[in-house]
Amino acid sequence: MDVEDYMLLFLAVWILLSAIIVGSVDVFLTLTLIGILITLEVGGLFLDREQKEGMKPLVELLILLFTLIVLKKVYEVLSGGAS
Amino acid sequence: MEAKYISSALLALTGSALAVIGFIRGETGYLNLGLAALFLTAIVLTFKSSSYVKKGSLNIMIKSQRNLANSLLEGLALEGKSVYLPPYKNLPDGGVFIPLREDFDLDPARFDEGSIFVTDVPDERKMGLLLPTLGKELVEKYEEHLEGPLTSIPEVESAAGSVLKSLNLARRVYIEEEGSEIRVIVSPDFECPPINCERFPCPICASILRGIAKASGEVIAVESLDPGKAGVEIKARRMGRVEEWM
Repeated sequence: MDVEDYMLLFLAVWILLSAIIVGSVDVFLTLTLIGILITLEVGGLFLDREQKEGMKPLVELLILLFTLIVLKKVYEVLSGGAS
Repeated sequence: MEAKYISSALLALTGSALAVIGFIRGETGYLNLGLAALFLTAIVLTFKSSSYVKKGSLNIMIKSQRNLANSLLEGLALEGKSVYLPPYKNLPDGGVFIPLREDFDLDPARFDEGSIFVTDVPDERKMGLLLPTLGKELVEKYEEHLEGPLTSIPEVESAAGSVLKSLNLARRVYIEEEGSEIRVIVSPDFECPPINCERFPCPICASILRGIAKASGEVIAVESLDPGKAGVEIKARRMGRVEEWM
């Protein structure tokens, strides 16, 4: 197994465990984003440019979803606080 | 069909089915698993993009290349140790020059990308073999990794170390500078007995020294290349800018 395989294995275990353990889609998406960012930061050295570019759309999509989740939570807190 | 496409297709199908079931039933567990499978599809497709060559095959190729290099060195009676040229007008990507004599002289104005045998010179000390492309692709990879041109020797050390490690070609690259002396240690990740490499290097050592020449903007001459405890140890010297040799 080379480093790419270990990174793939780590991500697969992280994402599957998050999906099984966590009971909310919001938290699952956030954990997935964190896992991918950790993998890219730690293992970025072993990835070539194409692989990093390939991961960008997924990271961007997850950041967008994370922003929506945060905005939703802020709205919930604010609307809860107003009532 | 490659295994990664089959596994990705299976993951995508399972993921879509689970996500739809989870969404319709309103079960978060299924929805999460479906999304997890879809994310893993994208990750498998992206990460497993490399195709591999066995190390044994690389050793055979390198051996054959080394024999060719040795025949060239013997046939052309090239005695000098390799000299690395930084990019300049005639050679926009720099190059490697193997002088005919050990007490060589350079005439960079006579070099160009199309010339290989440098014989049209008034002095025998300026004759030699010019290899403008040796190690060029790896230098491009280093710059691709840095997302910019090589401008300093620590950058070469870092980029070469990362790229060669990711390509499973070298475990470590260490560069030390002391005045005009440069010491490079490369720990190859495959069988690499350095035979005549100070005269005709492999693309790995050539790329590192080309990178140093490019980053420093100076001509780099190899003094020795020996196997050490930590790997192949290269001793080289800065020989001034190209303009100084014209």
